[in-house]
Amino acid sequence: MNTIWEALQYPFIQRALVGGVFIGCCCAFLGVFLVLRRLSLIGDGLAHVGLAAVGLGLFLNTQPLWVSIPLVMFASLWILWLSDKADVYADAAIGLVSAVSVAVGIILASVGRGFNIDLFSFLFGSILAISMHEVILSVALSVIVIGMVFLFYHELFAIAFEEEYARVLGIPVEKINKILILCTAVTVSLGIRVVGTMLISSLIIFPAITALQIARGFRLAMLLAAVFSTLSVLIGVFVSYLADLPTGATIVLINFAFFVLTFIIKKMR
Amino acid sequence: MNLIEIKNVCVRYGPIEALCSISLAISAGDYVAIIGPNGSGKTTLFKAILNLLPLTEGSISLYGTDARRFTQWNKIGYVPQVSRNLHKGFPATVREIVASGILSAKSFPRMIFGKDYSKVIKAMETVGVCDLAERLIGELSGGQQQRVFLARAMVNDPDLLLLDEPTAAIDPATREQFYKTLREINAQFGKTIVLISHDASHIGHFATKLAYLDKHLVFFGGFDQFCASPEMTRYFGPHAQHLICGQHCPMKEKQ
Repeated sequence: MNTIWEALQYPFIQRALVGGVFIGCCCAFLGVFLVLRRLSLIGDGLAHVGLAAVGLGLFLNTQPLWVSIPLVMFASLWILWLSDKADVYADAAIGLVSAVSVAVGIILASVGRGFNIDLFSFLFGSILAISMHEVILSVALSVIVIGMVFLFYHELFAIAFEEEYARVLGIPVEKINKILILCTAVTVSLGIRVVGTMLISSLIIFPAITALQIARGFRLAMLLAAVFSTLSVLIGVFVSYLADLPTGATIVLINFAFFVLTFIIKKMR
Repeated sequence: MNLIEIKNVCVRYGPIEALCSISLAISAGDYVAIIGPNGSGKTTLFKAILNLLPLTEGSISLYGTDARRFTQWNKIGYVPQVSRNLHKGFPATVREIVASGILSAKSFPRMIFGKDYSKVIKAMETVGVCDLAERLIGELSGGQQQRVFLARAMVNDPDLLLLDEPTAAIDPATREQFYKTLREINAQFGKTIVLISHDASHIGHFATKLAYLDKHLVFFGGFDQFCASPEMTRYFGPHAQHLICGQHCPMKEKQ
């Protein structure tokens, strides 16, 4: 207990906890809608774009987040356009955009040889190295994303359940889809700092599928996803600090442990 | 008053003609069954009415307004074909599903308040699913799900109900009960009902009008007229009269 108290005194732990919890909640709320709409892997695709964008940010010697957020948002709209207007299947559109982005990222990495180590930290996350500036940006953007989810909760719910019926209700499905995908783009850009591009999709998928094992109601599913995500970040940060493990990977494994636990509970009912 | 007026409507999916030269009017208080073989354009007609598909030709008006400019979707309740895409693990309760129907009466920001839930309860009571309110939609039988979707369609107390094969996934006894519920809704509450069915022999005994589609409108009129029509023999064969019109033909019941 003393060790945890001691850890809490460190500013880098405080920043990691605050940033991680807010970003984790965004991932959890959006994850419920994305998983139910079978769009979970969009997080993975956008993370690849994020890596390329971070590479560009480092290449240009600017704050990576300032470059990655608009670029990932643009890529998310590109995916939406490809699947809606160009008749490309959604998973193929995600693959196409992420492959192009990774290719660009690799070329940038080879051209600017000096930033490969920094890029590595974005590949696997480095939440303990998150700066105060990044925490403030993460909290501000997370509040906006969570606010959007609550503002359009009923529309998102109706579309997730049955998109065609949502149209009959007069819901502007295309606009809401854009809002969902843009919020996802912002969240993925922020989440790369927490668990890295390799693991960001797990931050979106795990809390949602864990909550879906036991939730008896949609609101409850959202709430449980946020709770599991928050607990995973809190436990993950402390365990990684105590055991000297990589924080992003530890958070993901804690998330997985929650999933296994709820899966067993569901089977035992 | 005509709630739906369809004039010379054609719909094409690329080179494939799904509907051609359809003209019909549905008046307030009608209980219309749309029948026809697979691929005859029944669901396409519904989608065209609901402005989910562009028309190649013709026009559709709802409550006297062109369907493309129609905005009062709370006046229309729609029950889609048994949710083919219904994800069994979707974590929504019956109450949440029925409440989502209220959104057609809302504009941005679409919020559902406490007073809206009295409408939800009333709709659930009307179709008898109050006891299922806290159950998850994926846990229900096909018949129960259909009742839930009917409650969702009725939550705004619409004048017009459009139902796309509402009995496709339910057993004959439940189907009979479902048709009776619809007849009560039509007779007691004066709701106009338009229903797609493959089940001509059953629905004919409940609906007041029958529309037979086969890409074009083959027949539109009363069930007794249909039974006596040459179209009936042409489409179902000379020996189907007894099977479809049977002993419970409304004409015979009246006699």
